[in-house]
Amino acid sequence: MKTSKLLKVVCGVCAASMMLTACGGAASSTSSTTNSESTPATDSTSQTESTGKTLTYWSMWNSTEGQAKVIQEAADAYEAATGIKINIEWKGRDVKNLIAPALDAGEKIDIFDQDYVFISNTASKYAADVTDMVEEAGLEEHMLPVLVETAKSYNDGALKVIPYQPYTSGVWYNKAMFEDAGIEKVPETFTELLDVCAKLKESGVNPMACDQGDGTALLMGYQLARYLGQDGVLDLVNNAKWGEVEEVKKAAEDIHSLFANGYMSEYSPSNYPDGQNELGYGETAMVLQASWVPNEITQNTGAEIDWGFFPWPAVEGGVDGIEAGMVGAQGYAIVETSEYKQEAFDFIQTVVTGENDLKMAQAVSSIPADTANTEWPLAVSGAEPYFKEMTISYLWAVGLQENGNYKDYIQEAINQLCKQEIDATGFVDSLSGL
Amino acid sequence: MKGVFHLKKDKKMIVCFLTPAVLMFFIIFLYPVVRTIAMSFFRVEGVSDAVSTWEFIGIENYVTLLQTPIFLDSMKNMLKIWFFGGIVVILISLLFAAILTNGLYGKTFYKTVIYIPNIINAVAMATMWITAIFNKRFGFLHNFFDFFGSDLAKVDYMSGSAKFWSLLAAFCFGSVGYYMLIFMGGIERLPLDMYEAATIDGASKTKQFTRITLPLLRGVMKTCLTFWSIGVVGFFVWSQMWSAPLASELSTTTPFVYMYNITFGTQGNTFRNAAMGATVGVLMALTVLVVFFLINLLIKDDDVEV
Repeated sequence: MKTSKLLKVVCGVCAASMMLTACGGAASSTSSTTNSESTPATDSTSQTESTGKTLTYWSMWNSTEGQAKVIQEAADAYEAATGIKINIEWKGRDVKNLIAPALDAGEKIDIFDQDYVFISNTASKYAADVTDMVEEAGLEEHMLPVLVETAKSYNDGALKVIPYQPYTSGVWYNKAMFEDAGIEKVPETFTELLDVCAKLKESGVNPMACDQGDGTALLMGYQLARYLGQDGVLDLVNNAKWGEVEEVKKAAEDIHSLFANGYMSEYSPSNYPDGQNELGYGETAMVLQASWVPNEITQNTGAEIDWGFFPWPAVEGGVDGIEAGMVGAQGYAIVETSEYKQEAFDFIQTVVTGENDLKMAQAVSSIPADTANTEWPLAVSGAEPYFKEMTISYLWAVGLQENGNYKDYIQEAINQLCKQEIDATGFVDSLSGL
Repeated sequence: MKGVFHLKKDKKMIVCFLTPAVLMFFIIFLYPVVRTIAMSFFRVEGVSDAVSTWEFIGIENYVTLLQTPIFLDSMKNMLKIWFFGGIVVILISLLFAAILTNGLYGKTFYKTVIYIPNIINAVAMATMWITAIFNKRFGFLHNFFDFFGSDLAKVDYMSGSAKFWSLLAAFCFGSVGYYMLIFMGGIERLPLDMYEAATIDGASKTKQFTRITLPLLRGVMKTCLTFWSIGVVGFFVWSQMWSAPLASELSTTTPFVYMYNITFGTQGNTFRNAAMGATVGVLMALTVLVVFFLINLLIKDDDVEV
């Protein structure tokens, strides 16, 4: 009997506390609703009333990435200022494959982003011509000319993309290791590069490292492009002239010599990202890669390196010098069928210029898109003077991955050459048979 | 009369229950299949391009595809995975199944351990193999052979010709548990009296396995081979993981990787050809059908009632 009474009391207390908890929750939720509802009224100076307009933006970033955080902040600020909501769907890199079917199926999307060449070329039929909007807003002055020219070249002079987060490529090196080896000047020719490598090797470090795949493709791509230029390399790739052009063998001999002389680390070419990480482990001095590599190495190894940069050197009798480089960017597209093109443009402008652009550059140690933002993140600042002087832009891997039907054979031959399984003659022979 | 009424009522019920499923089948399954087959006879750039923009070219896509070296090489890789991987996976899973159905102590524990790779995401499994086992500086194999001072410590399992075999080893490791369970199910339903009679007649365990178990597992073997073939034709994620960050590599590329690259383009190659992707898809479906037909033709069903 006593037990039953005790149980009743316990049940009663529990029920009462549950009711109180429920009331408390209701009260607090009411108060929070009241607060949020009252925000526009009480804070009308900084918060514009909602216009009811919502723009949908399919983003190439994942919500956890540094770029995403800056973009989300920019969208929130834009909404606060204009009352226009930017509904961001973080699709990740697969937006490249998803965007066309979605738009063809009538999905309401106003903005998407991807590699700027992809938008200018493959997705251009979905992208609105922004030439006039860019001109009216004076945005072109803030854009890197080399990117604008490349983007326009795909659409008869029309601009269909607004580039942001540009990248460049070249040799990233550890300044301290250069100093220890007594190197005072960065190499400008391939012969000078070999001298630098010899000095670094003498000082007890690996001069260079590289990864299989993009790493080795960049090495061979740059060397070929220095001899032949971008058009010459594309001619090789598209017309299979590997056996007819003598510079192919020269370039292969040069790259082979880097490995044969022991100027590459013993593990190179490594499986990505082991090669580039060797710089983070303090074993290797240089790596040829795009400007995202300092950030990647820091993320992977936690190393804090004083980064230096120089463009891939020129070669004797070559077509291009250090004024040519592999550059690129991400880009924004405004969807052709969007009802809110101007609004979309205004939002994009807030992301690719001024403070937000600088914040994004600092967040992931990338190059600012806005030319007015002269303060580059320290890790990539070494590339700034060369980037601004650059007049010729190469395709990714200088176009060696351009032909889907035999890019894998080219890559295989490059990897074999770098692993010294074949020499320069073997390299030419293996590609001549394609 | 009452029976007829019931039949009519049943038919109505059948129609009511089946209609949504049939409709869904037509819309979600049959429509894309028909569209893909049709697309393979046209020139189409993007998967979602309007039919009005398609240009009929007959069997040109098939002719081109069968003359494309990278596609033929990807088929060779697929065949190698099917043949060598098939032998390894079927033999090991059969061996494990025979051992575990033989009254081994701790059977459930071993069964679970061997099956675990199947419940782990393929991307996670591949990452584990690439970084923890095959890494040429820090991987288990490097450390193991280095400990014994062997030259094998210097082997780069993630490059050159070794890359294909490291991929195959990792894939087979993850596949054994699945086929082992199927074989175990098959062995456990075999009647015990046959084994008892064989034991009385003095047959060894090995003889019992080769003379009783194996012949009676023909049907199960057929199922396993069919599943294995379908799995290998759809080989994609492991290949992508082994070639990362590139979209594909010669030594590990497969037809589905080629199909994906040609349909959507890659980083250095923005060219797309959705119709060629569809052609690869149709050819792969035909391959599965041919393999299925051959397996049915070559392996007769169990002719002993069990």
